[in-house]
This record gives sequence, structure tokens and C-alpha cells, in this order.
Amino acid sequence: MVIAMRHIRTVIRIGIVALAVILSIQVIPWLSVAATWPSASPLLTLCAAVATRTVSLMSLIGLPLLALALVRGRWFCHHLCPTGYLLILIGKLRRRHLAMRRFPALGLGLCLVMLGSALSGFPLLLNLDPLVQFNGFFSVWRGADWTWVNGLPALSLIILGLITAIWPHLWCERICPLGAMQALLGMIGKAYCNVIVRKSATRPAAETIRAKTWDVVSPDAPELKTRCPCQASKFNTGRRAFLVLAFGAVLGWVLKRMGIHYPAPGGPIRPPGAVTEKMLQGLCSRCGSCMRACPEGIIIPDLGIGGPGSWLTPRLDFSRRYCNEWCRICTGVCPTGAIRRLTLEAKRALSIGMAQVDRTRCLAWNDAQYCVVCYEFCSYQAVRIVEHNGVNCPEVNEARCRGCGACQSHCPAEPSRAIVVHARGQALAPFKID
Amino acid sequence: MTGLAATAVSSVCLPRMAWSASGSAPTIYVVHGSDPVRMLAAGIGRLGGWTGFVKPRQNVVLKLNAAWASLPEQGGNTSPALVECCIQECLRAGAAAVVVPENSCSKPKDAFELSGIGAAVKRSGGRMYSPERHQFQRVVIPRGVNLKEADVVRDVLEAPCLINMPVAKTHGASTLTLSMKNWMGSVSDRGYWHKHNLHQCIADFSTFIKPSLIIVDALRIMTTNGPQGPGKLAYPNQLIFGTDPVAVDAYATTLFGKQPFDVLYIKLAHDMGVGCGDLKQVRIVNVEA
Repeated sequence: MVIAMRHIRTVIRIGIVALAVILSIQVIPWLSVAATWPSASPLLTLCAAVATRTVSLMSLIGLPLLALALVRGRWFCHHLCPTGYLLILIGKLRRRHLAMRRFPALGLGLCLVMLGSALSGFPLLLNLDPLVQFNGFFSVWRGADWTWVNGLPALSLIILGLITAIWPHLWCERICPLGAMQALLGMIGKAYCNVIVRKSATRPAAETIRAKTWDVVSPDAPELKTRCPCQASKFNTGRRAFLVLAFGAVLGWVLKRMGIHYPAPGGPIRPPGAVTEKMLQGLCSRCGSCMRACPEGIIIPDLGIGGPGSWLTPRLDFSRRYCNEWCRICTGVCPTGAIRRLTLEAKRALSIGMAQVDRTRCLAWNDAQYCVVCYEFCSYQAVRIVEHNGVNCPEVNEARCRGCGACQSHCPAEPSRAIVVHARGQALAPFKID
Repeated sequence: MTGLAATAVSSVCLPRMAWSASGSAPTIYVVHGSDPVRMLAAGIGRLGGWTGFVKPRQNVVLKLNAAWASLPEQGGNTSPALVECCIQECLRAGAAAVVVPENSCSKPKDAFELSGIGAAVKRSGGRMYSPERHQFQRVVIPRGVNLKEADVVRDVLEAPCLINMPVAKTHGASTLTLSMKNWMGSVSDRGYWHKHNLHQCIADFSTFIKPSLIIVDALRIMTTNGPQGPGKLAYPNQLIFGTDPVAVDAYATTLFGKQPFDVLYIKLAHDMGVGCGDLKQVRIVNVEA
């Protein structure tokens, strides 16, 4: 009977991993909200909601898990978490477990730093959320034009796997901030539960409650049941928790003020609907959802064009393709709201950059060729024609340019394009007049 | 009637002086009306009916213009109603299949969908596709001045019956886009054309490609902001039928208030002997439908 129970658990866990993979690789086209798999994490959605001071549909997706943690503590970790299951499997590769009792329980500290920095509007370390890492790993494998740069969001789960291969259970027990948050919630829930239970006649033994709340790390590692996997133990005092929270808030505030942001025009061009450059570097969890969602594959991880804090944030690359006028898919999949949801009208009216013609390279200006492919491809009539040497030459109408990159991606000038889009923040541009 | 088509086709291969000396002036049929179905029937009737062009149990390749993701009423692409009717008639005339290859400028899916042409082709029983790299074939253009080689869609090269059905509209680089310019949607490397004197390349390619029939959609023409638009529209309500691409294009320029030789590629093609761009020497037959 026990064996049968274990089998059922294994099947459920594999099923959850499969579901998470399906959601991460976004193969359900009509379910754009469900495509944001990481937003199932209450830690991520809470940080995002606090940082942006908005509650959206995305934030609500994290609620079931929040409620579950209040009732059952780390039940999700033990029975559902797909990252945890992958790590358990990796951990099994190593027969002899290294002792890691002396490794400090960092999880709750990290969780509080994340929440604290979110309070100051610049959430830090969002990438440590295990669901984000899971999503990052599975969302990067795209077919066309794949380069190693596209694969970078997968790194955090790979590193996690390597750590687990050396020290099994280290992540789940000592570092995972989502796990620690659930433990904390469980503790709060238990305290509340005690109050209720005390009122009722049937008060269960304190030991039973503790056993339920501080359940084992993994059902597959029963020997760990005896050890205390309680990440929250050192933060039982509210004062210490408050201090760490305040530290996170100060750190977030300092980084928000002092962080290096390379401004336009040299900086990265962000997807439509992206929050300000300053905000984005914190709010983006580097989950790779937008990169996966983009049907043109033009959203790639930034390697530092936007400053050191911009590492792995999404930026647009117009070297092959461009941001289609009728597409707004990336705006619907961000779990943290770093890319806000836009209506199609709002997206079409939004300027994300500014094209510039380099007359020394331009076939028309420089070589008197009948080209103006940029004019042809501009859907917003932001390229106007001026005659020069009897040939039509392109000029950018800056008020209308959306920075969509259609001109850049089609410019036939070689070796480098003669019309290039630069960043200029995001602003509304007027709709075509004629 | 096959004979007429054949002589027309052979005449365009000869140098300019040959046809003017022989007196076989090219004929174009300009059909005026409001219903594309009736206009198409009237034009083809004057040319001797579909059987003169469509060989039984052989493919028809239709090169229309579905380059842009724009709506039918914006005039950026060939009218879907016309396309649907044309494919139906070809199939009725005994064609094995009507193939519609189009190397669009916008994303093929968007262009085929928004233009309404994808649906029109499907409804009428044709097959439309955006050619992949392996579906192009490199050909040599013997009389090409700037364009000596090109990768052309294989179906277009091997077509027993090739129909060119462009839409008439303005164009930033080539002044107007008409039947000769329409072939850019059948080649893979358009960038080369833009880099090596576009007008010359258009004329060069026209020395090589020989459509069986040209039908220019001038039901509505985009007079500004072409080729993609949206721009201002005019409504000549005409279809222009012919087999001489230069003559057909030359007539179409007049709809925009231009002279044929205002468009450089028409002048170049005329001088290279592709056809006759001098409207005084073209027999223009107006047909009401």
C-alpha cells in the first residue's frame, strides 16, 4: 500500500514537471496568461506587486500557492515543485551525501531581502525563484537563428543542477527563497491555527501540528525527516526578520539610485510596454518568457549594453527581423509586469526607438541607387522621401518613427545597415495622418 | 487564338525595330466596368478565351501581388475577388492545378491573411505558398546588363502557363509598380536589384521572363505612399489585358497622369526591345463590361 502511494506521488510529480514544461515552452497559444508559468510563484508575484504598486491578474495566479503555504507550509516543495523534483533526481546521482549541516540557512534571508527591495521599488534577486529558473531553462530552446546568447537564461537552472550534483538538497533546504517563504507562511498559519484550535475543543497535540507544518524535505529522502529542515528557524524573532527586510529595502533603494543605467541612444531597445530602464533592471526576473513568446525571435538577452545590472534582460535585435505592427504577444507573458500588457492600439501607437539614416552608407544618398527599401517597409510612414541627385533618398520623420526596426532589418546596404534604430525610451507616437 | 498569343510572345523577343517594321503592333485590351468577374470574362473573351492560354491537364502559375500585410481596400495587393475568379476560370478551362507562389515583403502569413488573397486562393481551389530557399533555382539572364543571374521560383520557370497579375500602384524606388516590377516577388535576392540600379534590373529580368498573359489590376490604384501604403486611392475601374509587358505598363502609367517614359524601367525595357513602350504604336482596345 505504501509502495502504491509512492508510485502515485511519482506520477503526480512527473505530471507536474510535464505541465510546467508545456507552460514554459508556451505551446498553448490561446492561454497567454497560463504561459506565464513563473507567476504561479507567490514570492515572485508578491515582489512584483509590491514593487510596481499594482495588483494585476498576474499577481492573482500566485494566490493558490500562497493559500496552500499558509495551511500546509512547504507542502508544494515536497509534492509539486518541478524544480525540486528535477533536483531530487540529480541529487540521486550522488550516492554519498556530503555533510552540509554547517551551511547557513539563507533562504528566509534571501526571501526577506527580495521583499524588502521590492518595497523600495527595485526588487533584487528575483531570478532566485525556482519557478523562474525552471521557466528560464525550458523557454530558451527555440528553432530558428538560435545562438548561444539565446541560451543564457537557461544558465541559472544549470548552475542549480551543478550545485545539487555536488551537495544534494543544499538548494531546497538552505537557499531556496520560495521554500523559505512557504515555511514562514506555514509558521504564520500554524500560529493562527493554534489560536483557532485553542478555541475549539479538539486541540491536536502540538507535536502533530509541527510535524505537519515542518514536513520532510522530500518524500524520497526519508532519512532527512529527523534532521531539521526548517529554514526559518533562525528568523523566529520578528526583530531579526525586520532588520533583514529593512536591509533589503535600503539595498534596493541604493541600487535604484546608484545603479548604472546606460541611457538612450546607446542603450538597449526594450520590448514594447517595458517599464523604465531603471525599473526594468530590477523588475525583470530573467525568466525568458518574452524571448520565448516573440514569434520573430528578435528578443534576445542583453549582455550588458544597458549597464551591468541589465545582464540577461530582454532587448530587441533588428539585424534579421523586426517588431511586427500587429503583434503584441510579448506584452502578455511577463510574470512581473516588467513588460506591461498593452492593447493592440496602444502597442501600435508606442514608439520604442528611433531610426537614423547614415548617409555615408545609404545606397541612395551615397551611391545614387533607386533603393528606399526602408520607405517601402515602414508601416507608419515614418520614412519620407527627398530627392537628391535625381534619386529618391530616405529621411526619418522622427515624430512618427516607432523604432520597429522594419527599415533596419531590410536595409540592403553592406556590410552594415545604413538605417539603424536607436533606443530613446518609450513614448507615444502619433498615428499616421494621411 | 493560340497563334495570336504565340506571335505576340515571339515578337517581344525580337529587337524593337523588328516589330515596328513588320507592323505587328502589340494590342492591349482595357476593360472598363465595375464587376471584376464580368470584366475578366470580357477581357479574356477578346483574347480568345482561356483555352488559348491554359493547356489541359497542365499547371497554371499565377504571379499576383500579395506582398504586403494590408487590407484589400487599401490597394496594396491584387484584388482577391479578381484572383478568385481567375483561378476558378483556369480550373474550369482544364488546368490541372493553379499554383500561386509569392515571396512577400511582409511576413507571408500576415500578408496572405490580411490581403484576403490566401482565403480567395483556397476557396477557388488554387495552392498558394511562400517559396522556401530550396524552391528557387538559379538562372542565367543572357541579355541582362546589370542582372546576369537570379534565383527564381522553380514553378515560375517551369510554368506551361504563366499569368502575371500585378496591382498598379506607386512605388518609392521604381516610381510605379506594374507588371515588370511584379517579378521581384518571384526572386529571392531583391537586395541585389536595389543595389545595382533597380530600373535596369527590372528591365533585365523582363528580357528573360515571358508570361503567357498579363492582367493588370487597376480597379483601384494607390497614388501616394506606395508600395505598402496606406495611401490615397483612385478608382479607374479598369483591367488591362495584354501579352506585351512594356505596352501594358506603358498604358498603366497614364492612369497615374504620367508618360510611359517617365518610368525609367519602361524606357529601358523599350530600348532593350522587350516590348513597345510607345503608346502611339500600341493598339489600345477599350472594352466595356
